[in-house]
Amino acid sequence: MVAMDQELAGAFLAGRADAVDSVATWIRLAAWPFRGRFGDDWEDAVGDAALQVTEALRRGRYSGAGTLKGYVRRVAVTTCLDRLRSRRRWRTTELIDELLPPDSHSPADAIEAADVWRLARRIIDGVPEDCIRLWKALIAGQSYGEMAETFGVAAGTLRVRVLRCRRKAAEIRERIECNETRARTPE
Amino acid sequence: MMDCRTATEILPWLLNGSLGADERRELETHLQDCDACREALADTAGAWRLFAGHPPASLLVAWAEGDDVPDAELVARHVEECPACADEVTLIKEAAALEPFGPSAHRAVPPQPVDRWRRFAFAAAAVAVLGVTALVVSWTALLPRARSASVERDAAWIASAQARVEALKDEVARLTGAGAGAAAPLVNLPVVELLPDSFRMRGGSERVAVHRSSGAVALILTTRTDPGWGSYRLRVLAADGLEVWRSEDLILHNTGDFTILLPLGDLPSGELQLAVDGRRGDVVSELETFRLVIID
Repeated sequence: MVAMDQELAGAFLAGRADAVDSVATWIRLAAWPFRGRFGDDWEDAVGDAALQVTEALRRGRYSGAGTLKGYVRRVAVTTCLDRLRSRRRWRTTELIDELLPPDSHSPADAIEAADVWRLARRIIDGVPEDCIRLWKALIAGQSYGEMAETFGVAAGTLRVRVLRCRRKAAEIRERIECNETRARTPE
Repeated sequence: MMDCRTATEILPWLLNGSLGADERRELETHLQDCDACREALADTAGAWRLFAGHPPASLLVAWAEGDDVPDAELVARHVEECPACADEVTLIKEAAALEPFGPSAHRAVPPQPVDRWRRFAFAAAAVAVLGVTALVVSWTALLPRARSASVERDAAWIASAQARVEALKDEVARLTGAGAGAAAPLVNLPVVELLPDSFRMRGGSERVAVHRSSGAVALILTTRTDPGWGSYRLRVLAADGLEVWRSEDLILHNTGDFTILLPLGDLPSGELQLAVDGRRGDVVSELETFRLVIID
């Protein structure tokens, strides 16, 4: 089965019609549950997934552990999830987007991204519960007026609290990173 | 002119898009000329990423599929707290449940002719696999949704599922010519989920076949149909293009599918085309077509 899958991966990369048809069908099946989320952009999402699968196979990332069909599905689903998430990112203008550092969502960065997420969890675990509630309301899209009403404080006070929470999270991050650096440095 | 203190304070709401137009314009103008506030914007975006952080998609996929991932407990805790990730896990499981529908690796080469009993055995196996898969898809979709925080959506989904069951019951009663209470139950029916022809790739999907001896087949027609049509109908066409069965007033469920109990008795053998039409006023349009093979 492994040899057959490797052969099929090779045939797909060589552009053999039957192999391309099979892999393309697997990709569409994997992306099928996302059709309601993407609406008219669903075909674009399928195209994006096909690109990622091709790239992954070309780079030899399919090791033969598990079926090729399962591997293709996972890459396609991961691509769709990343695409879905990018829609939930902050909403802002092109001008501001240019001022911000870019997000990295390539599956190639998966290990690094997992490390970043674990670090983020550790930081959030150290932040007061109030801060988490404030930032969740913010991320949910509430204006500062709405948040002030929800949390029962003046708008100015609320803005300062959110700023303090941001600084608190930065402090914790710095402390964790500093401790890790110290732990790695030989005496 | 906005000062740095105000600018820094309202940066988070610039990112969430809730600032008023005037305030946003003023802040953007300030940012263009102020290095310190641009730095604060980058810090705010960093905090946003922290507080809005989710496990990377690849880690979530591996966890949802039961792989041995590092920090599995951390992921589980996050999914429990995060409705968006719980929803993503549902999508991952739905995609996994659909995997048996696609061609397997050894079918990538053109299939060789097979003898009659093998065809029959394959058809029976396909019906069994599809039936079980349809049940698994429903099951995997139902459980996480029942846990979801969005009570309204859950209620709508459950109501829709109940409506589907009721519609099938009514159809059974109609077919057996008796009231729902008096109808003899139809048992051991194959349940088949069909994907539309627009979805299939050239030679990429197996034909779905059912045996006539089943008496009827419960069909789930999965579509990407626009819900904006006034009404929907199903026409079943034989290989020569003649219409052999029709059902009016189909309901497009909010899960994006139609459900039909199709009696097989008088339908011709071989491949049938199932066409779903939408009607809006005087306009009737063919929206999706499906294929089903009946074997004697």
